[in-house]
Amino acid sequence: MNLEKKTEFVVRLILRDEQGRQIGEIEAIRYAGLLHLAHEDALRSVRTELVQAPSDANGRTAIVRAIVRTRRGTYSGIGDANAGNVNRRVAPHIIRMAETRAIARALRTAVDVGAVCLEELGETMDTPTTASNMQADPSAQLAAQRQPAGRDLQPEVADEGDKRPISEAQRKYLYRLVYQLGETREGATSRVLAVLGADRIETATRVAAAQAIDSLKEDVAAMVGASDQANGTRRA
Amino acid sequence: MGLAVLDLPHNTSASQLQGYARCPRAFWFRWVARLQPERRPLPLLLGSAVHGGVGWYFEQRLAGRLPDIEEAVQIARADVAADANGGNVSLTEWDELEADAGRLVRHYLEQAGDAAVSSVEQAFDVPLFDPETGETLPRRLRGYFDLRTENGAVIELKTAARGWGEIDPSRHLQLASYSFAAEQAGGRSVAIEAHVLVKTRREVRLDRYELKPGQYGWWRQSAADIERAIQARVFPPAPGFACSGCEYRQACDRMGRTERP
Repeated sequence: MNLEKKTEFVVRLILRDEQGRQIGEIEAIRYAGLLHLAHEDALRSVRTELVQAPSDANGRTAIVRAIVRTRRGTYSGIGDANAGNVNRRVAPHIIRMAETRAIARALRTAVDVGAVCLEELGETMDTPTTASNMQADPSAQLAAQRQPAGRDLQPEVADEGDKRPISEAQRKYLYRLVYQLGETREGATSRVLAVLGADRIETATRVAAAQAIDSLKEDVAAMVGASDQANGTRRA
Repeated sequence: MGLAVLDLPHNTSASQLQGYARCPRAFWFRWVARLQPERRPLPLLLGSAVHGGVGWYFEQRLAGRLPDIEEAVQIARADVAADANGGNVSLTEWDELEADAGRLVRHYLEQAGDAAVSSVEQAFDVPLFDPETGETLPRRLRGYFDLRTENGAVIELKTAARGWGEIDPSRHLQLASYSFAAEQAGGRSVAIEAHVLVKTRREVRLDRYELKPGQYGWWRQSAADIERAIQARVFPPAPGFACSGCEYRQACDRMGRTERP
């Protein structure tokens, strides 16, 4: 794997003190980038195990072990999370955060990336600038709403454990399929929501969307098959 | 209060160059901060649906099927529904979008549906150079050609409320970007056709503009200047009439509100 490919996913974070003064820089890699690099290395499996469930006795700290297998070998990583080392927004989800961190550490070893993963950093779940401690800066608050960049060229593909939200390409694919099944705009959204199992489309995950696409494609195939059969019967 | 120091996108694109030229501040919101737009302008939704329907039609043909134009219209309607769902679109606007997308897709495919298209949404990724020093610029130019024909020409599909009139395509940041990318990627000059679907009050019109090879000197200089400004993190607002329809109007308004009196 070439260096250029790796550095493509690396971001440079500027660390600032409470007064906003720059006190240093750190390089970090995005979790999505790690996953991409691992897939390029023929990622075969990702297994996780909850080593320690959060409880009052352990300071409500979750510990997860991840084992990642690529064509090069098997790699493991440990991740921990508690209310003190995660972003406030993810504090209610510390088991999942511990799992993400464990996978990230295992993936970093697997794909030979030394930079820390963004998701391993306490205040940087998905907002690189918050590592800069720029709370006084309104644009940093805006940055908390960052959207994923780039096109989704594989809307049907999602890895188990992929925490990303549904993509625009996935949303469009779902609507195209339900229209193909004869829905009109009046019923399309209800059907999309039903197959996603969500109350609102934007809350659906990429994994749920990929599964919904598979399910609707089967419905379309069945409809086309039934139609062909009916036409064949008529012809006969 | 300045803008947060966020990492720039790793690559540039025709849309980024054009977006920066329109308003550097809006560029920052969209490509650097990657903010969710406050609203999606209707012309953007219309263009997206038309691209969807036309692209689908040619993909089907490339797959060896014989699609019906009305199927492509239905795809465009589905895309409108997908976008309208989260885009703060009123039912009246939705009606208009559906009707316009249908008419534009139908008209385009009736006029150009038999084009010898060899690829849809073909990706490109080429380096950019400073025209004076020959230095490679930090960000590569990446994007997708809407359609490519068997003779290698690039077709860019545009929708517009008004015709482009007597524009000089060599001074068009997007078209010249595609021309440059096609030449760099293929090692030879390639003609770029802009197919502009014009929605007038009573009709739909298809205008064609062609950018001849070797006409992008202005573009090379402009692209390098824009890229240098982006690298220098210069993102001032460009106040004007377009502000009222901007997707980031509220976010822009908030900038500076925390300034002490």
